[in-house]
Amino acid sequence: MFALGASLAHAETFSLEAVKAAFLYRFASYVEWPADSPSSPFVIAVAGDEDVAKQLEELVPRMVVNHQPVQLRRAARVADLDGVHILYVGPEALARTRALRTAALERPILMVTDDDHGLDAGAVINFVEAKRNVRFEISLIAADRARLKIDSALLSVAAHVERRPAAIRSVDEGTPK
Amino acid sequence: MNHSRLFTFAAAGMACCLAAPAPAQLMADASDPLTQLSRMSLEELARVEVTSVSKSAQSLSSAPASIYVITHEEIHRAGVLSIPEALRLAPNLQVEQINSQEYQIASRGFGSHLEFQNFSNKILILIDGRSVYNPLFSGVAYDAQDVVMDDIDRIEVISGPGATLWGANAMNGVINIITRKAQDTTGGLVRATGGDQENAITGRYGGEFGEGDAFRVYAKAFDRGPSELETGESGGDRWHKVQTGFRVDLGGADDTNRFTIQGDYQDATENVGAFGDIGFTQRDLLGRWEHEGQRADTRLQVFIDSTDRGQPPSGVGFTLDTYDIDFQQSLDLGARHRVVWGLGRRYTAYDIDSTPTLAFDPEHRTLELTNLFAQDTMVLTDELKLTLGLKFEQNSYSGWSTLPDLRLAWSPDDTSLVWASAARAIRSPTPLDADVIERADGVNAFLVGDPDFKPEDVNAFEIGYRAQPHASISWSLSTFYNDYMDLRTIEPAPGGFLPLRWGNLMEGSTYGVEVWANWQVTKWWRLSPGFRSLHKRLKFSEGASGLLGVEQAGNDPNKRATLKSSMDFGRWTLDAMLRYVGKLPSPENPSYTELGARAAYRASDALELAIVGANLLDDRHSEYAVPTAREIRRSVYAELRWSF
Repeated sequence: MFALGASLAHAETFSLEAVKAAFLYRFASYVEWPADSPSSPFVIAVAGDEDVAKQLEELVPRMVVNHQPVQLRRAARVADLDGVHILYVGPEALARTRALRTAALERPILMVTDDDHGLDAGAVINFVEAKRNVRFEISLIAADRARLKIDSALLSVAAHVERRPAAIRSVDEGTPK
Repeated sequence: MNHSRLFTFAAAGMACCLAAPAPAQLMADASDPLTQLSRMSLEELARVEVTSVSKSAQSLSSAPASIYVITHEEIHRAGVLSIPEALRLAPNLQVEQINSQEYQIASRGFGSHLEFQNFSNKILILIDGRSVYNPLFSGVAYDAQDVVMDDIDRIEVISGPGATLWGANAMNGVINIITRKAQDTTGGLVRATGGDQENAITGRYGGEFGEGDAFRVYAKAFDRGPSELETGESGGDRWHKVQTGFRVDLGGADDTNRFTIQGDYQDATENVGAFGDIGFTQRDLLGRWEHEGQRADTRLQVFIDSTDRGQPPSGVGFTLDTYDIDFQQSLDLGARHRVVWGLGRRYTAYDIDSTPTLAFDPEHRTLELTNLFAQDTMVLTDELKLTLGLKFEQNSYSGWSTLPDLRLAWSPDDTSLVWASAARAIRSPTPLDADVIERADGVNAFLVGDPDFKPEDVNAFEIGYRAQPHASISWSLSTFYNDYMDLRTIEPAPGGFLPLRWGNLMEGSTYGVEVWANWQVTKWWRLSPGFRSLHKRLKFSEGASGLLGVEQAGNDPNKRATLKSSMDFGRWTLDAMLRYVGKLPSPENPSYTELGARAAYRASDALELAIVGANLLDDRHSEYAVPTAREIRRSVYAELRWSF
């Protein structure tokens, strides 16, 4: 305190878990799931991060996504993925959730990780910690595979966006240059 | 001779240019952190500071001062339409509404005694770093202080002296109104309110450009209805205002150089009973450069503020132009010293339209204010921090003052803080103290200023404790003892009686406590009680005339208590605040209890509808007793907030 400028108090700070939980909830508004994805309720699953799960547990009963109620689920086995829209895999949990992640990759699930190798592991969004903030990176390649459309507003906030090289993109889209 | 009558007429005129402050205090946020976070935009979330301290604990302010932070969320959920009404949320302030146009707001007493031309002049208010203290009469004109309420990031209310950092007049408190960066207010917002007392509309639009740069523009207008006389008739103080402004922020949170340019323009018309309408316009422009270096952070700020006020029935009109430049740097010296130092200079050019009964000699001049300060926060041990600060300040009337400040903070763990402080502060002389000539009959001087008027002086001592014993409970307790010298009095002419002149012959002490708490009762319900007490022991110094009594120093309630309740029911929120204010002693205004409440429905992310009620318990009630004071009516309004 008595910091620079006329301001006496620090800006308010929040716990890391609460910020991540809020992000997971907010992501839902910027992603479009394919028509064949499960309908109501909107399910957020958490694997390997009890702290974030607890925060979400508090948050989601009060929240609505696309006019649907939101449900929190702790995911451990592949069967837990039924009806899931967002799967969050906590830090240091990549290794022990291999089966879960592999199954999630085949479904229209927004996989979010918190690991330096998150995007390599197939995540669409990966949390990265900046100085004192929580930021995230996005892989459009993974989004495409999961058949998710990411709103450009989300991309603009991302610290880094992984896109496919233009050449590959145009081949895929059948408009070779 | 009836002194108080004579004083009244002059005071009435100036009172309309001024209003006065009062006291209260609690911990930062008004709503639980998760709810706050879930309502933020992506951009805001990405900028949120993360605490590394304890996992689920809310941050505990480490400031060794009695500080209450009114959050954006709290202001939003109270549904308030003006800055004075927002300040009622701080448990360490006393806020009295005088009429539809004026407030007195103070911290730790000395709210004002308008009949005796004593304004609430011992509290300093800054809006985004721009001082809005009126250096002509001392005090703050609350009718001229306004921002887009939705753009306020927070209001820091510090009770106690803050002179080392903020300079003269931060004697009993500092109020810092801080608006959001343009990056945090992108998109459109329309807030429309309509009710029996006030109709208002605000529009704001912000956008981003370049890489991380952003702007916003806004316009707002309101028509505020009159207060009432005791008879139930109109108080004749209806008024309306239009205001517009902008803010541009260049550079994002990650940039080492950031520039801010912001400005406002407002134009108001105020009805003054049978007298008709008077108006004022106010313009300000502020530029700030902030540099984040490897070892030092630097800030350079300049602002211009220009006010033009029409002449009220029995006071004076004036123009007032302020030019201010301020430099600050903070740097780490080794691992144990955090040093902040700075210097600044301010020019205030004024021109007063004297009248036969109220004149100033000179009528126009330029006041200068220079300051130089340094402060070192020393980490003595992991748990103990010592802050030593010293400011030298020079003003055109009384020359140099030395304003020291010493603070000790002991934090035995992450969830509790004990702090103590000793500091000196002053209220500097103004043209009203030094240059005024009042003529009751328009010919012979009745009261004149004292060219040798000294600053009013305080030595302040505080001890406080803050703790968060449980994740759901936090509380704060501050106690203070203030020792005043050279308070303003009224003295007879040397060797005679008239003209009377101002003197500095009152002294004494005040003491009291400020306590507040936050209790998250359940996930959806938060209760926040607050209480402050104030005791004054003032007396005249040797040789004083004793005219008008020690009551002239300020008419303050001894007690104020508040209870805030904040509830979430899915898309519904329900907020209420009950406030009790003790009686004002002289002139007497009875104690009262009032209730404000707001029920809101979030129809979607973009649309919120609410109904707000203020002063619900009585048809009308009085908060301050002077001839210009009126009864404040119960009011109800509907509110629509649309963001896009």
